[in-house]
Amino acid sequence: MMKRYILLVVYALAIVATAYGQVNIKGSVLDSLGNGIAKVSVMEAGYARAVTTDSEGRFEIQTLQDKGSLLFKHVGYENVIRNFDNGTNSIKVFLIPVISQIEEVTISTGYQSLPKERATGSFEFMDRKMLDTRTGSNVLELLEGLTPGLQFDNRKGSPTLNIRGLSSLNDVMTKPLIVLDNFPYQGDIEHINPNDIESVTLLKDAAAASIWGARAGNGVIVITTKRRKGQDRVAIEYSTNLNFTEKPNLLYYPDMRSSDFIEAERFLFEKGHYDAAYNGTARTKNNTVFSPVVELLFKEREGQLNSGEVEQAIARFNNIDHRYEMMDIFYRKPFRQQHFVGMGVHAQNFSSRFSIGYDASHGDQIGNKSNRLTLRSINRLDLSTKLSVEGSISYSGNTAGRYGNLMSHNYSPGGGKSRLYPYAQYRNEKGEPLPVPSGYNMEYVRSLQGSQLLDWMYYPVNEIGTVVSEDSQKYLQTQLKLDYKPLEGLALSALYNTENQTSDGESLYREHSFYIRNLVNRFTQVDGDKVTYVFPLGAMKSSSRSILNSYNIRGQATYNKQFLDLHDIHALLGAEVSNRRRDTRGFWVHGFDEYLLTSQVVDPVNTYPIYDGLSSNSMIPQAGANNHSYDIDRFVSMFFNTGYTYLNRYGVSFSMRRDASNLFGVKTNDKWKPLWSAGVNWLLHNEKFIKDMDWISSLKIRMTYGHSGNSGGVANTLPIILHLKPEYGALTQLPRASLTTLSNPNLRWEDVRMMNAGIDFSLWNGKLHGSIEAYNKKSTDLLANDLMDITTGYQTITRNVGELKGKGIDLRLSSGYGSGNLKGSTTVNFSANTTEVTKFYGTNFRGSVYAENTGNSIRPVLGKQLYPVFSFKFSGLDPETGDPRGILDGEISKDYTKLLNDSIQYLNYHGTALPPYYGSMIQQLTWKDITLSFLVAYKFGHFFQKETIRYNDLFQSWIGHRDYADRWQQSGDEQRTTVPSMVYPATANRDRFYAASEPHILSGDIIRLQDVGLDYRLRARYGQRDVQLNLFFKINNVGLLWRANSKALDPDYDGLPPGRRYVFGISVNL
Amino acid sequence: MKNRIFIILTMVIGSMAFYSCEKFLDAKPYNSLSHPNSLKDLQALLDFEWEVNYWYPGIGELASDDFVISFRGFSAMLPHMQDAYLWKDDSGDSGEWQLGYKMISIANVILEGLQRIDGGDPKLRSQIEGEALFLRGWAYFNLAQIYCAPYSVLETSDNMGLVLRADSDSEVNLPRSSLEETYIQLFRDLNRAVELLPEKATHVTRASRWVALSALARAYHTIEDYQLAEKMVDRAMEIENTLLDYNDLDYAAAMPFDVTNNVELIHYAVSRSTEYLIYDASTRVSEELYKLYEDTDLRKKLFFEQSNAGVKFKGFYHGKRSCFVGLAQDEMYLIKAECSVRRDAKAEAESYLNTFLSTRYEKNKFSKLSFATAELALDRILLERRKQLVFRGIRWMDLRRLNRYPYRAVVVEKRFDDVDESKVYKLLPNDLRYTFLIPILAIDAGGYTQNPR
Repeated sequence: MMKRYILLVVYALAIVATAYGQVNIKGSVLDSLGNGIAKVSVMEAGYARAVTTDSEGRFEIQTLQDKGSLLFKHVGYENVIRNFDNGTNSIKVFLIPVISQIEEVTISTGYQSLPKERATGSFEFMDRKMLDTRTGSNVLELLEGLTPGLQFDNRKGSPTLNIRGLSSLNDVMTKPLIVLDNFPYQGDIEHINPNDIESVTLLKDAAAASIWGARAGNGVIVITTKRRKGQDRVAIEYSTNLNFTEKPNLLYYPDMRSSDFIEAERFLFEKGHYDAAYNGTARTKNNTVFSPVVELLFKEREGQLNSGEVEQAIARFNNIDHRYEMMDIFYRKPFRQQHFVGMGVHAQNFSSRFSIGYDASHGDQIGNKSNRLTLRSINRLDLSTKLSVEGSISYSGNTAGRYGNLMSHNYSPGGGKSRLYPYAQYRNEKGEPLPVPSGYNMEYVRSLQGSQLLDWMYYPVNEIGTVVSEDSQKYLQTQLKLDYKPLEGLALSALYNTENQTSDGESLYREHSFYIRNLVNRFTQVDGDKVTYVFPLGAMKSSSRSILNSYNIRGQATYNKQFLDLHDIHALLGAEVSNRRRDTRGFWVHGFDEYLLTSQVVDPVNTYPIYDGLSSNSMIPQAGANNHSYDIDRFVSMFFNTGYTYLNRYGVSFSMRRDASNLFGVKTNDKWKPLWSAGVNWLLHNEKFIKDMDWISSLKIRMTYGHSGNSGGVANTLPIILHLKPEYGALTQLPRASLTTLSNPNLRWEDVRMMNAGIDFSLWNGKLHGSIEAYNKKSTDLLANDLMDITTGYQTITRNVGELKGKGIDLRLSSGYGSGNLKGSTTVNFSANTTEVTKFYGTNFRGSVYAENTGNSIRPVLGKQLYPVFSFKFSGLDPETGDPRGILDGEISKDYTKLLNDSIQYLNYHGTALPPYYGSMIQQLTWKDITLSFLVAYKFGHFFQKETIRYNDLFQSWIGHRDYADRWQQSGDEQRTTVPSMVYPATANRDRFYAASEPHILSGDIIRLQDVGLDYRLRARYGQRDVQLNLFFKINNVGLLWRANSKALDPDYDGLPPGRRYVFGISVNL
Repeated sequence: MKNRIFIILTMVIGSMAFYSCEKFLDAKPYNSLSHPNSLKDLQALLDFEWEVNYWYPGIGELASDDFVISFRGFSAMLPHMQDAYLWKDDSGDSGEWQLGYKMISIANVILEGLQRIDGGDPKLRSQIEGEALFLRGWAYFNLAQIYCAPYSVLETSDNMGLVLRADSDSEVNLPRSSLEETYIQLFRDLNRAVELLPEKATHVTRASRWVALSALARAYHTIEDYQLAEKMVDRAMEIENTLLDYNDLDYAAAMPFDVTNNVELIHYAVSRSTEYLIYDASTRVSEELYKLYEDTDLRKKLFFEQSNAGVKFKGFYHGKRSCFVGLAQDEMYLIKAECSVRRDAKAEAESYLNTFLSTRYEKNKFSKLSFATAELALDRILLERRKQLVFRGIRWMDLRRLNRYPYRAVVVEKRFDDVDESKVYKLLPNDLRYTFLIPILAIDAGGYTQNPR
């Protein structure tokens, strides 16, 4: 209502103003090379009417007043204002491309905004235009490849971010702090609609981040949302896009061929591998899963089938690869649509913005779907010249649904097996569902058909939709900011922020699902004709809710003042309190009727016999499973930050902060941690001797030094215990507690000291601009779980065990070129970082700990980089037996146990698994209104370990690997392969040694074409409005352009690399 | 004046803010965290079965001769389990040291907590103290059977004992004690527990006087102090002496014994570290052992089941497929009988043995035994120990105890029947390998003297 009222007033004023005198002005608008720029809109300041330039850049305008100013606007160029009066009749205007204006951006630290020119610290600024070059459902996803110094480690599925390498030894403590509009963000990043984001600033060094104190040791990402500002009118933006992604390619997995798998099964059958289980007790046999081939072979041996029939069936199995059918039935092409509308209005003392976003998608597995609604409103009202209020409220509602227990590539059939045989079938020729094993011997389950039990077969196709999970989240954030400016230059602010996130999760196991049928059968007691169901018939349902509430209160005073054009001071002083509480609860119901919502009570205490003695007496799963817990994080902080610039040339800055948190078991005085930083800069372009050099537009040298920290890990003088509820299968229901931590009185907070030096430059009017930075980091008192004397009963304890030294370079170079209709711009980002462990008091483990699964954990080793990649020395295969051979005490050895336990110093050290050199190149080419862009990312200098065949896993658990086909089979093969021979029985240590040895370490170097985009911009005028239409087509995850490894593996992903994504979109601004 | 008001106001608000700030930061970060600051907390530590009842040392069972495993099963075992099975020292880790010492740390945390916490119900206080002392003493005894040389009161020993921890600090800084000191300490703990504990506990997972006396009976019996062992058994049996009549059990059941029906259970203690071996399809009961049971012996059907792949064990005394290493009444009868015969009270021994065996043999098919000599009676009692206390970790203690008498000594032999049958692994009587090596992790960190080889 208020908004509409103000709008009316604004329009009324505009109409009244048209009555006054006019001037006729002609002119032209040119770029820096003197070429005319077409379609520049020229408007009189304060009025909505505008004209546009013609193809030569010429324009003519009748002003409404006889004195005023003209505003020249064109996308991609900085706005220019020129005054006119009734004597003016011709104006020539040069527009400067926006790209050369980066030096004048305002960066936000979350506490204050300051011109980047003044900053001494290391900031990376990404504006809307840059973010628009990428698409994604969350903000962080957009940042990959856009800026130097920010690394994405995508190996584990969801990305782990680090800024300028790692500065902690603890996985949990290496994450950068995320700040959304003034405050650390507590919610789920998915709740922020990327379309609402105005800019993202990365705080990379101590001076930039030290304002965040004890939580900034790993850098800070500051996200600023859009606010309505600028012209006196209503602005509307609309955008929509459709994303089509390729189906996951299961064939990427290096699985074993069916024929190879069957060959191995026949080999094992001959060796009598299956005999013990097959001839064992009924219980053993019934609990063991045999594959169809092994079942056939036993039938052949027992004379039930003749060899012709068996061979015929096996020949058919040889040609099956279950992944095709699996992709067909259980996987699909992911799809996502995003829609967004934003509206804003700005008047003299009021501005307001409101936006709605809606996203909907379905994932790559059948049943997988999600949607999101975001609403955001931000309003600012200037009550007087001294007092203003800003309030914002945002809401996000997400729901995500998926099918549980769905057949997938990592399906584990149980019964001793972790993977399915590769010749599995899910449907027969007629399209009818076929069963696969799940937990029990198929022969046994078949024999039970027609008994009093429920059907005990597992049909993956029929299981679709029998287990349904749905998660929903509601997120609400409100922020209120009060600014009071009692004196010129002085501003007092009070800020209040609350976040509230409610997450609900539900899983329904329908009555006919295998999960329920299995439990009912297991607990069925048959006594002649009498059948007792201990486990209730009906569905099962779990519900959980987690509520996050947080608030922050901050008071701060800022002072910005210029004296006599000589001195420029800005200072900030404040204090903040924050509180976050997370409350979690959940429960299960049994015998649930999903329509009547009735349920049955089950016995949570006693054990019951299991059908046919399949296992020992058991309790009813999830009986009485309910929980309620909470955790609280609290911080109190005080901070001070000041900057001073003399003569617009020489700047110094200083910043200090103290934090305290509610660490458990610590006296209050030990909870405080003071941190500080200082910096200098020199704005060379304001010096006379540089001003004369035309080709230098700007040049700045800066340097900082400071400390930031990582909270946590403070000494506790008493042991800590954790109260628990009785574990599953507990004999008593008495209250119980676990002794989690022994007293540990000598701990200190982690400290990260960083020195940063940088040069920012812009040459030839911004045709070439960029920055080069070098830094040096030292993290001390690093906390890690260190080995302790196991005579305490505990193997590890948190100690300040290490010191890291990191150094690196961040480089960004941009250039804009071209003329007339054809323009281009290129940005190159490059980062180099090495982080080495320089002190480590922790104990070293034996070699296998480092060489197995190498590169997947931080694992500090003195003198080595983090995420070290080690391997066992390998001296080929034994020409006689095909056994892998290592080197022990300088001699060739096959003593695998000793080799695995060898000391780390005898292992090969290859380097690190995190790329020490990485970066990107962003290229844009514009011809008239069409822009072609691509982003190429590269990573160099790192290593990864590939998987291989482990015979013991193949024999016991059906985990195969295509390397099997290359195995040593006869003397001479050792010349062509390193894959050991298949021996029976398999020795786990032989497999382990080989898998962790040298041949499996590959270079991770890659060049990836990450995005390609085609953009068409159209500008038109409708009445008073400038309408900008933008059509785009993008491809994300296009593919690798080059890789160093020859195994066709994508080292960025441990599992399946994401499929190529095609995005069609449109956006309108008016 | 205006200024003064301002200053006073600032100071008042400031100090209030500081006070509330301290309170604000004292909030517990997680609701279920606490320091052990009340008797309730201490009792809760003792009732956490997972840490207090489930991790007794079990590798002695692996090194004994109750079961055999095929090479296929053997190759899938963890390296330190392989070592234990074949008495090798390759892996440098035997797992049990840390688990035992965790119980000792828990006990020490509780004893320190009692010093710190004032008041409370004196009965509850002494029960908690008694339970903690039992936990510590019993853990020392069980660790000593693995990591210390066999000990006997009949001869002096200069062997090394355990690291006797008196506090729960995260730094240890202690050398190993002598073997005698170790036993003195553990007997002190257990005897003090007898004084402090109530006669019987409400739960089989908790210690009581009955439990502590039974534990002392086993401990004195193990070090051949038969006199004291018998005294302890007598006191324990005064509290409870019921036997389970095996005639009442269903031998067709997959698991004939259960924690709820087995009245013989005295204290619940399990070795989880070895239980997966029991699951393995290739684990079989040793044939020599199985041959010892006559057909009228109910244990033949209740403890074992036949399969084409050999005899499998199913007589888990607590009804779960893991190694029960706790105390039970059957052992008390056998200790009583043995102690009696060793002081030449043959008739008394026969009486206890007959009472016991009448519940193990088929009704009407068992005739009471009487022996010509005490030596013959002892032979039979030891045979019954062998037959009754299987898969219970007790065989290891008996091997160590009886090995010093050449006519009772046993050479333990192992071979794999699926590969290279000719290769026989042997453990000779009194071999140094009857004492396991202390894990390398402990030796490296604590600088302890390693056991001899």
